Formats: sequence, structure tokens, C-alpha cells
Amino acid sequence: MKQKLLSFLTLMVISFLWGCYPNGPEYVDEYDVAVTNYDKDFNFKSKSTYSLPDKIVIIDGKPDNPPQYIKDINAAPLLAAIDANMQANGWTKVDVTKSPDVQLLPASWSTTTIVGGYWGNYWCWYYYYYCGGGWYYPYSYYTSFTTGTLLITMVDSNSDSLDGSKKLSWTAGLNGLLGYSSDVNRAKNGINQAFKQSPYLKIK
Amino acid sequence: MKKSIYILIAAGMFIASGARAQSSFTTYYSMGFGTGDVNTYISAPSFRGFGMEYKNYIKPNLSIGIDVAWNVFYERKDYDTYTSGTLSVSGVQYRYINAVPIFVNTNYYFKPGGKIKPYVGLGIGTMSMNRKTEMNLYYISEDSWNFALKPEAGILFNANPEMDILIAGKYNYGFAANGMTAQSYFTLNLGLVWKRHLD
Repeated sequence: MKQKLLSFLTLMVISFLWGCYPNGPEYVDEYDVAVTNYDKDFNFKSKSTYSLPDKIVIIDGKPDNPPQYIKDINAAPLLAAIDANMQANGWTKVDVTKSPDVQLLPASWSTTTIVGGYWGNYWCWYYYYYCGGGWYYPYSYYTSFTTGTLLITMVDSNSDSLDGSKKLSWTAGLNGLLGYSSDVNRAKNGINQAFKQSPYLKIK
Repeated sequence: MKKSIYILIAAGMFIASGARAQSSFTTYYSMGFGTGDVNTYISAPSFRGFGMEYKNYIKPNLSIGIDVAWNVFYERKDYDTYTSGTLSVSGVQYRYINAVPIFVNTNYYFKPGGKIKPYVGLGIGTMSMNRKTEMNLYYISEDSWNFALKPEAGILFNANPEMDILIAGKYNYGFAANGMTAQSYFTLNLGLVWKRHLD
């Protein structure tokens, strides 16, 4: 009897502890992350102008298809948030034809894995007007993302390498779960956070 | 390392089997409080833990046995920014430590025949530490097996001829190993001790 009681109690304790093993995120926004990286040799303070497209391209892994873009109603507040942060940091927006110092290129995807370099050739297709010099998107720091990602990259307009590519000076990746009504607001918060954690972008 | 654990357990069983007078089996609930690097990583105390201990009394005031426990530390770190070099990552972090200490113990009892038996003890063994940091859908996991020592002190309350109640404080200290610095935590344990008289 004693042994049975002992076994029973031991099993009860193990079951109880197993059952209350701590879980991870409970709310969708707890998955959101903002990742930024930059070229430490790039002199941001020597630059002052930037360009930004009026659309955010969707990278769908199908380069033969016509380019798709995020709906304007969703893209507009995100582009506005990028503009607001850049201008708050002292940058002046100019048209891409006016030789900006840097170019900001936003893109989005919802696939599970993207390998850096794999999507480089898309840029000349999606943003054909950037490809006068025939450049390819430079090597990315990221190798994979899952769920929904908004990637903002800043390239130095005046940096031509031997293969015609532009130099990456700053990149921000915002990642989180998609399919919720708060996606745009969460993405805006992510954009604000990306600039907040990149104080080197403040030039004035 | 697995081989070492088997040797440790076998040694404990061998030593324990040499006893004549009495053996006991203890199950206990264990609360953990991180110290040192464990506390830096997770400052929240752990209320998820349990252990089992088998003891043989080689003298009325001296026992040798095996003590195995499991403590789970967990803490949710609020949204924050973590920077390494030029890379910055902001998000909510979930941190976990699963600690499994395995010790061969020897305990000394001050009043072996009394209703209340204070004791002190020392364990020598190993401690498995798994540290997991979750952020977004990704995680980083680190594992180590640390050589470990465990001083402890406690009191056994005699409930009846077959059962004691245990209150014990234990300090698990694992030395640096596998790229992980020394890992240590204090536990407060409440348990039931089933005594078995062999002679």
C-alpha cells in the first residue's frame, strides 16, 4: 500500500510539474521583432538626401510573374512612417532621378525561407529605374525569415563595385505573424523601433 | 558524459547497497533561486521543480545515497533591444533553464534517534544545464554538463515510524564547462521520506 501511495504521489508531482511547464508567447505581437544592421565604415553624417519608392514590392519567389505590390492602403502608412523617421533624423527626400545620396528599398514577403542573394536579381525587375548601372542587390546579412517580413534596405547611390552592385549601408528587417487586423500598425511600430535602435542614422 | 552519469549512479547504488540498518526514499518539491550567472540570466525564482533521493544509512547518523532533481527556471523579458556589434534586435524574449542535478550524497545527522533530526550533507556529481532563449520564432539553445558540488542542510521531522517530513536547503554549484560559466542556484525543498527498515 505504501509503495502504491509513493508511486502515485510521485506520478502526481511529475504530471503536475509537466503540466505547468512554462509556455512562450500568448499574443501575436509578442512574436514581433525588429532587426537592424549597418556598415560601420559608412559615414552617414556625410549624406543628406534619400529616395523612397511609392510602393512596397512583394517578393513572391516567382520572378517570371509581373511584380506584385502591397496594397496602397497598407503600403502608404508604412512608407509615411519611413519618411517621417528619415526626416526626423535630418534627411531630405528627393526623387530618385535627382541623384540621392542613399536609396531606401522596401520589400515584403511572407514565405518561410529566403536565402540572401537568391532574390538579388529581382531588384532590376521590380525597381527597374534603379538599374541604370545594371547593379544587383548586394549580399544581405540575412539568410532566412519566416512568416511576414518587411525589409528596408539603404544603399549608397555612389558606391559602384566592380560587378556594378551598390553598397549596403543599413538594413532593417521586421518580422512577425501575418493575417491579423493589426498587421499595419505592428509594422509601423516596427519601423519606428528600427529607427529608434539606429541612432547613427541621425545626421542633424 | 553519459558514461560518467552511469558510473555515478552505479557507484551510488553500490555504496547504498552496503548499508544494513535502514534505507529511505524521498520525493520532494523544489523551489529554485538562481545565483551568479543563473540569476543574471533569469532573476525570477523557479517554482517548478521536484526531486527524488534514495538513501542508505551506514550508521544511525550517516547516510549515503543518490539525489536527482529537476528545476525549471523561466522568465519573460519585456520588449527590449539587444545589441551585439552593429546588429540590434528588439523583441520579447522568453528564457528557460532546465537544470538536472545528479549527486551522490553523504549526510550527517545530529540527533539520529530524535523526533527532529537536523542534518548537513555534501553531494558530488554532475549537473545538466540547458539554457534556451526564444525570440520571435527562433531560439538559441546551449547545453552543458558541469561537474558539480552540493552542500545542503535540512531537518527531518519524524511523522511516524515509516515516514519523515523533509525541509532542506541545497546549493547546487556547477563548475564552468562546455563554454558555459559556472552555474549555481539555491533550492528550498519540502518532501516526504518513506523509511524502510531492513533489519
